[in-house]
Amino acid sequence: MFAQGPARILAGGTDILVGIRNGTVQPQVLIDIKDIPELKRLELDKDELVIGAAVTVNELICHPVVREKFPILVDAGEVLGSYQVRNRATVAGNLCNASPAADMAPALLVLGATVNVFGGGSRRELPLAKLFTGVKKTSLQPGEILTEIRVPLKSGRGKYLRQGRTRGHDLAILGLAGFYGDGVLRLAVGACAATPVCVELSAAGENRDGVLAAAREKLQAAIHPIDDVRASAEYRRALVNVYLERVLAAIL
Amino acid sequence: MPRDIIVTVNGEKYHTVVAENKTLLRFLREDLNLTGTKEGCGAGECGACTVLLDGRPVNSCLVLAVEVDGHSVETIEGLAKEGVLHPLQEAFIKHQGVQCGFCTPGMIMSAKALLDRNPTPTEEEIKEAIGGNLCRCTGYVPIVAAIKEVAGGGKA
Repeated sequence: MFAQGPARILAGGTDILVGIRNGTVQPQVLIDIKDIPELKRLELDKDELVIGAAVTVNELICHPVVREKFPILVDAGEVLGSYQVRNRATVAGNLCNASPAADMAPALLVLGATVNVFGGGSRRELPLAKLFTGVKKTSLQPGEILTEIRVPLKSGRGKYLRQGRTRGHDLAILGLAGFYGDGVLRLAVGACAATPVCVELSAAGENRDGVLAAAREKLQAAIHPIDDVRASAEYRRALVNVYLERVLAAIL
Repeated sequence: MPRDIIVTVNGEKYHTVVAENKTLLRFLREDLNLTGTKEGCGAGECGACTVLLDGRPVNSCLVLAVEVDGHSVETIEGLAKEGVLHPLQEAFIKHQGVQCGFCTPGMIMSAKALLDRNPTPTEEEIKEAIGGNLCRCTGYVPIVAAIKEVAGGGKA
């Protein structure tokens, strides 16, 4: 959550400790934020779900309000890591680590989430899409910390599906989230570009096949998949179409 | 820089000094001589290092010892009481859920945590709960069977 510098935030530690162990990150100081009560907030505040920076993925997906009103976040959280990882990994940490494959990102993007940032004595709020700037890069400035995520409560249906190499626990080759409400369809894809990608299209009054075709075109134009150790670009593009169809079948 | 910590491990309170960058895994194994917990990957992917932190299964290779100051840890060594094996340990032996034994401590801790929070899990729930514990020997079937037996009330 702190940009490159001698001090880094320690939330769940499930990303940063791996980095420290393999030498990719070498902080002199770790700032443990887990005991700050404000950062453990997980509740509905009027029409917004507030997820504090220290809330773990398991805490999120076990919360009755989340399970009832934001089931897409449960879809996303329950495939992240393993049960052990989810007991430590935080939702905010998953976003700030900014892996292109971050499982929490597509679902939060289609829900129109915003994040609150504190630093240098002042606060700012930004749409989640503006947080990601590149592979493992965020727009957080030195000395800034993401304090909470806010998710507006909207009527509609959402779904997150992802493909790993195995049926077990693995990073996503592709993650696709869709949310359909008030005639608007929002789609987001992870692991197919340097950052998670989000598109929006109108679906009011359109027939399903028309929406599918338009969504497919818009999504394929927005992603830039690469060949990597987990999958080829070609396979990812093919999977996007398959998962798009499955997600739309669930939400339209 | 060394730091004072107070941590309860298997019911016993330890007041000790630990290097800030030492993982809980290494602390347990090296400082407390509790070598039941294993290092398989050191990166939170295999689960061999699984212990219960305040009752919740975590990968101890991803926790720093200083983070458990004031907290409670349970390891495999804490399961058997005065030489009497825990029902999960008995079931793993009975169903041959142990071959080389390297995954077993972590596997059993994940299973214990599951049964603590969900005493009657489905097979699917068992598999999901041990999804973060890799086993290269057994093929998992006997492990699931062992957990199922204990869950079915094989023993309390």
